[in-house]
Amino acid sequence: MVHLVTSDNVEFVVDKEVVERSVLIKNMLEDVGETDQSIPLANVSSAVLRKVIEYCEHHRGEPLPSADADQNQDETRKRTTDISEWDQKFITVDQEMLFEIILAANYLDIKSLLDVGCKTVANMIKGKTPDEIRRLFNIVNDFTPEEEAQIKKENEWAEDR
Amino acid sequence: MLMSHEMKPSAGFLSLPRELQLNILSFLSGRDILRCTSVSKALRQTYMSSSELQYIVELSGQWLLHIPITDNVSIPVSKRLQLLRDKAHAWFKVDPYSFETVSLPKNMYSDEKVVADRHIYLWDQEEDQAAIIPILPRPLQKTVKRNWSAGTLLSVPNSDNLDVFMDPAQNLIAIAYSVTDATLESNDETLYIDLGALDKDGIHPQAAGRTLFLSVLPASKDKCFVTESAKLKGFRRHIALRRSFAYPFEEMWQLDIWDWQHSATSNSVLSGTNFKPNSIDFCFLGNNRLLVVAGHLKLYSIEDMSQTPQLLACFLMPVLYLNIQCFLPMDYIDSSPQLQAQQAVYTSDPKNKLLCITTGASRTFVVSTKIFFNLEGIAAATPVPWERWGPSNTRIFGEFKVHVSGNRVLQVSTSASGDAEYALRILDFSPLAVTNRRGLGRVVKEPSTIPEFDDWTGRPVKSLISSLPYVEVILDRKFGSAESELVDLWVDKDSIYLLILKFDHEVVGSTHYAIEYNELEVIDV
Repeated sequence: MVHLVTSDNVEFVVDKEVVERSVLIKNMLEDVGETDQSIPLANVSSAVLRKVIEYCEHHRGEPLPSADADQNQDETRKRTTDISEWDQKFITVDQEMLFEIILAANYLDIKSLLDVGCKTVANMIKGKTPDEIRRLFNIVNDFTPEEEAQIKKENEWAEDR
Repeated sequence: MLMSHEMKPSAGFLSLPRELQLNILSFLSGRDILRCTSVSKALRQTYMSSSELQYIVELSGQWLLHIPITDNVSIPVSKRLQLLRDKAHAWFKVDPYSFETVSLPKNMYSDEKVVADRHIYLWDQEEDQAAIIPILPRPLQKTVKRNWSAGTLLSVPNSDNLDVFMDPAQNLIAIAYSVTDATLESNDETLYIDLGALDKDGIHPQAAGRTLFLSVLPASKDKCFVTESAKLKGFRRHIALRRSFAYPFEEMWQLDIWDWQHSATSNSVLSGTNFKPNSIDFCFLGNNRLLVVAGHLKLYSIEDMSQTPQLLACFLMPVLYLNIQCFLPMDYIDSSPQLQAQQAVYTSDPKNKLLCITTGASRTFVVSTKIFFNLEGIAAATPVPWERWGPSNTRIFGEFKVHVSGNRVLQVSTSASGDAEYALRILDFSPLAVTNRRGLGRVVKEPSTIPEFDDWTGRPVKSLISSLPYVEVILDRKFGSAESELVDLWVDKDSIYLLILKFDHEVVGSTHYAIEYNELEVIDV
């Protein structure tokens, strides 16, 4: 069992097999060896870690993507925004939590979870106009009307005609 | 506590590190990525900093698909982006005077010459000869060079050769021929399609059988039919033979389609009748769609080869044409590992390619294949009128010598002065061409109008308007003189091929003989 301590000082005790989906923790454990000392995760809150562990529990035992498979998968991975049914349900959270999960998956180095999060955000953007994207993420339009018109003209070809 | 809009949420899209923003955007299409670039300055910066995102946009703008390289040779994305842009730009400044010449067999008068996969194949129906010749092969490219002299092409003696199809990428030669039993009065005809390996004698190793079997004509139980003309075409696992039969007042046709690697028989058969001398043609659209052009355009699904092709849609042409033909060369990526190791490989997106339809009245319809893949709101039973699909998806030209490849068209047109000289034009229909032409070429966005005549009566019927945008580059070289004539042309993703007929004379004793022979000029882009 591995002890993890979150930024808000909550301790989680998790199966080694489960927590090793995180490459960061896996490497840490390999470096220090068997230890009862808890691992501090200063960048992850308990609410987020709970979700991350839920994900790792569900995917327990699945093969981890190897480092060199990465290169080949890259091209095929890009074009698809398919997410499995369980993952889709799992990632149905509010926007703040979604971005927190992405940040945590990135920090903990859990590639499959990072992809699920990023694909989910990509799916939210898909098909939306710039204005709709601004409203979606609460982004302020900081272009001058002239700049905006210029960019619109440059991108015109990509719109359906 | 209420959070004001001015306040940044603790975790929002823009608060993500740039690498994560890039990761998210890399899952999007070119269009969606571009929309993000006009959201805010920060997002635009993210885009500008990433050659990977620009690469995705460039691919979608050129209507290309990237073929993943399975070897470990991996070119950085920035380099790939540069290659793509350079290549696209090179098409705008082709030097027509910089060419290499390939000589063709002088003793062969071929009815058909086809350029495919950097080979040219010739077929002489009368003399029963054929040849395939590599065109300036690239290093490590797989090549085939063969010659079939009279009597070696067909395995059954006293037969009539109907058509020959060669696919160098798949090492396939298919020969359609008929044997008429002259001993009986019945004029019984048997048809064969032999599948052979291109590079050596014998059956193709992947073929389901040496000979494909044709289905019996639906009306042939009580009548005899003799094939009047035939056309053999193939694309990857599919091969199809169109036969036309003489019939009083009208012409009957039948199209048999095989999955030649899996079955020597076919249940995938279409047939119909045409008023003479209307013709019928067809082409494969990707792996599971078939377009049959017989007056109008009928789109079929051939996904399930155990049954008759399923009609998906019918697109009406503006006028009923005679002698209508279509072609759509599919670029084929050779699977040999040597070829792929050379550099990044791209293929044109089958959903965004150009299809060329030529008619008897020397009209050329350049059609975007997009309409054949987006069938939303189209029912098979309701033909789509020309006005609804045609003008915006098509550009109509009056010239007759045209070839297409991907999104490019190579075209011969008479020069403005109206003499016998011809000029070459390259047209690029990819959407990015318009913005990335860097001042070269002429952008044509405005609709063009061409007067149209009824093929039957020759009377003017209506004006045809078409408006598919393109960029045009006119090559600074004229063709057509007392010594030579441009007779055919092809284009693929790397080169332009011009078939030149040369006129010369030979002196034997004191007699001069006029001779003519073919040469192939290759302009690499």
